[in-house]
Amino acid sequence: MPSSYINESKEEFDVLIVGSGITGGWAAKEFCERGFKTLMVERGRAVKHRVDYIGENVRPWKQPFRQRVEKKLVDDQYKIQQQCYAFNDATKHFFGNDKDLPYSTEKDTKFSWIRANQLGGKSLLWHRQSYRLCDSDFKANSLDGYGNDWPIRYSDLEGFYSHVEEFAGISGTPENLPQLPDSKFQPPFELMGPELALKATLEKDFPDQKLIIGRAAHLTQPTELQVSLGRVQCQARNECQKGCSFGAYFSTQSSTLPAAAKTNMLHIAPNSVVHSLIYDDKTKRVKGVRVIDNDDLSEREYFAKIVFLCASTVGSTQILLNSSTKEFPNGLANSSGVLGHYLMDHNYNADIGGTIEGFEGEYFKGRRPTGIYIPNFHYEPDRYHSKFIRGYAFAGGAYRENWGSRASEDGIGLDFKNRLKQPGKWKIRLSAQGEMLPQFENRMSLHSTRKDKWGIPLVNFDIKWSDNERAMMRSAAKLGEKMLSSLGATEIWSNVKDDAPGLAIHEVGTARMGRDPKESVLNGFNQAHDISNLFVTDGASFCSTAVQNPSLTFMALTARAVDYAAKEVKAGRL
Amino acid sequence: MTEKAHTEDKHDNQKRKTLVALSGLIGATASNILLSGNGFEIATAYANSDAKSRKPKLFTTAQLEVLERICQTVIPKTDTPGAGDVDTHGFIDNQLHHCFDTTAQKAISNVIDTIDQSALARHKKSFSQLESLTAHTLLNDIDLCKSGFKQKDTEQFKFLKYLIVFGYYTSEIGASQELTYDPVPGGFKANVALSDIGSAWGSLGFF
Ligand SMILES: Cc1cc2nc3c(=O)[nH]c(=O)nc-3n(C[C@H](O)[C@H](O)[C@H](O)COP(=O)(O)OP(=O)(O)OC[C@H]3O[C@@H](n4cnc5c(N)ncnc54)[C@H](O)[C@@H]3O)c2cc1C
Repeated sequence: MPSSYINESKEEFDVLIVGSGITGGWAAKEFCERGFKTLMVERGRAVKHRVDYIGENVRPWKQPFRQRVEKKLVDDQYKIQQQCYAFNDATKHFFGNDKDLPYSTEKDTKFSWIRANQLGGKSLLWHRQSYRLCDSDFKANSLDGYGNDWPIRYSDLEGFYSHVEEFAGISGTPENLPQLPDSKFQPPFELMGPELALKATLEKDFPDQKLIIGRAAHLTQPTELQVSLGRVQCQARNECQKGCSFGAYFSTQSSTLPAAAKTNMLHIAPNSVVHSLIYDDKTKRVKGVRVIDNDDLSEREYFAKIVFLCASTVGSTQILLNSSTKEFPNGLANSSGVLGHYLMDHNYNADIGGTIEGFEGEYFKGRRPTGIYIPNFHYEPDRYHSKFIRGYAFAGGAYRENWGSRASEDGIGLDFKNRLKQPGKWKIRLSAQGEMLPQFENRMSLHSTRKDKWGIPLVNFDIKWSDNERAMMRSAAKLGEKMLSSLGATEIWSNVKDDAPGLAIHEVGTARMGRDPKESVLNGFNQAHDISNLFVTDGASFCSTAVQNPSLTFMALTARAVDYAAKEVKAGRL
Repeated sequence: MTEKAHTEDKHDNQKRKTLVALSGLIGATASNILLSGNGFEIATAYANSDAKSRKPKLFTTAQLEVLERICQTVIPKTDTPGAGDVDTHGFIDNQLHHCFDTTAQKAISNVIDTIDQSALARHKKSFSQLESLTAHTLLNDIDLCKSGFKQKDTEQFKFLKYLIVFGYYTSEIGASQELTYDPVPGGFKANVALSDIGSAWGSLGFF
């Protein structure tokens, strides 16, 4: 495990990383492996790989409420978190506690902020879907005029994508698609019968909609390095969010932390809530962070030559906003005034489903931890739909009904029991995953009066879906129905919901990159325009959402920023 | 040897066996690393010990007796025990108390009473005293909303049925004897013949 946990230290580290989730873990590994003495500052408790996965492998009948969470506890502490599909009695301890971590929303708006405030952050809870962005994703803003142009292109990230993929381990199939560049893959999970049938239907009738197996950060054929870190191949339990002692999915605990710890360069300060950054206006550099102890609320400081903010999109921007100085009255590194603005999430508000006949004799063994994926087909302006701009992907999968959805069927007694003993109908389900446009009005700020128990102003959200997102979801529902009907599915249904932004848990933007310091917070290397030794490498840096799940890109951006910073140090410029 | 030591010993043995099997697959070093983890925890047998002595949290003893009979009628004993046999009624009492609001609690309490009163009206006996076939017919009527039952009765009954089904198939017997429970599948295989598995999986949907 980590080289050492620290509490007090007056030492100046080479680098200080705020956050230990997907991006913080990557920053730590990359810096440590380059010989930088690294301090990782995490607001939550230490979670030890394996040891602290208290929900793992506990049979449902051994759980007091069979995986449900006690109502009083939900009402008191998890009102928001329980909206997340992965929240249950065996995972709840990895979710932020809404009572301790309140936030506010502007009148007539809603935002569901799903959090994981502990060592490992959301890397313990994520669904592992991993996709590269493509070149048109980086060009979209400049082509249709929403948001600012990304200062980077696909070619800038390509090598770093490969780098993070080879280490993390991504299962999938090479497809050679322009809108979804291939990763460095480990062998894919298999498609099921009805999914293969849908794939064949699409190939025949829907040339633009290509069905592939979901690319996921699961080991299917671990490398020697992965095995040496204690990771083995996925056992197909699909109970990942409880924690995985096999280390089969990528998380900070399974992957980046052991790699960083091996170097003896890593120090971790858990239970250290970063209140703000310490800025020296003479040198124009940040010197470190002010910390409030998570438990006893005492104050301390940590110092370093370079600071990487990896506290998640909202977390990092909250720290910047709370670090105002005379020079930066509206938030540190905010000479542009865009800090907090252009908050985005994905829109997951259209679901489609149907029944498929003809596969009754088929079943599956194991629980596949990924689904099917139909990549974005509106990926450049020429391919935009007439009713909206940008695009969406479908994710989903086939499954057989079981007792969970069949309890309300008519029948009781022997016949009912015998029926439930066998799997039910084959169903197929698709969910749209749509891009959200970057808009100045969608933003987070600090509440003017309310503070949390650490004395930090609450985050206030002000974000709404636009008509573009709504039109996209309506269109997705229609297309989904068409595809299923072409397949010959029956009992086809679709549903367009109005779930709040935040629930896709892909929040990005608020400290965006850009070429022009007047309209962006960070440059193309995730370095603050205003403060050269300050970097933000999480989703806050995004200029647009694209359609793909973002975390693989967070990893690549982080690895690239570290590479750049290390070179700058070597060249004597940092 | 005490009972506890005995189960722990069995447990360790099982763990060791699994590890030996696995080290062939993933190498001895890696499987040793895993020793400290929870991945191999083999759950010790479920002790359904104090089902009889436990005090109900929501229902009266009489209601619980009726509920037990309802559970057993909805999911009867076959070559595996029925829902009443595995204390699904106790589970429901506990679950409703801890995980549901008062509206839900009242609905279930209501439908238990409705069923019992209808048994009294029809047969002059408590539901728990009815012959199997008579009990079956009565529940079938409420399930299908006929023979005098109202829409509301049927809705409440469907909710109760959901709880019975949930409780039974998440019990050890329901999940692992009636259905097939596979805690560590070892990998994923699509397109397996259903006849090779033999029943629905009891290990789905617990992520
Ligand atoms: C259920 C679920 C499913 C998901 N599925 C996917 C998926 O399939 N694919 C995908 O790409 N993404 C997915 N995501 C999103 C993914 O988890 C996040 O994008 C990713 O973890 C973000 O990484 P991060 O390092 O920016 O933030 P996090 O992983 O959230 O880590 C941030 C860390 O910073 C710490 N922190 C915050 N504020 C402070 C402070 N003031 N002081 C000190 N420390 C602080 C936090 O405690 C936390 O540990 C999913 C998320 C969830 C919850």
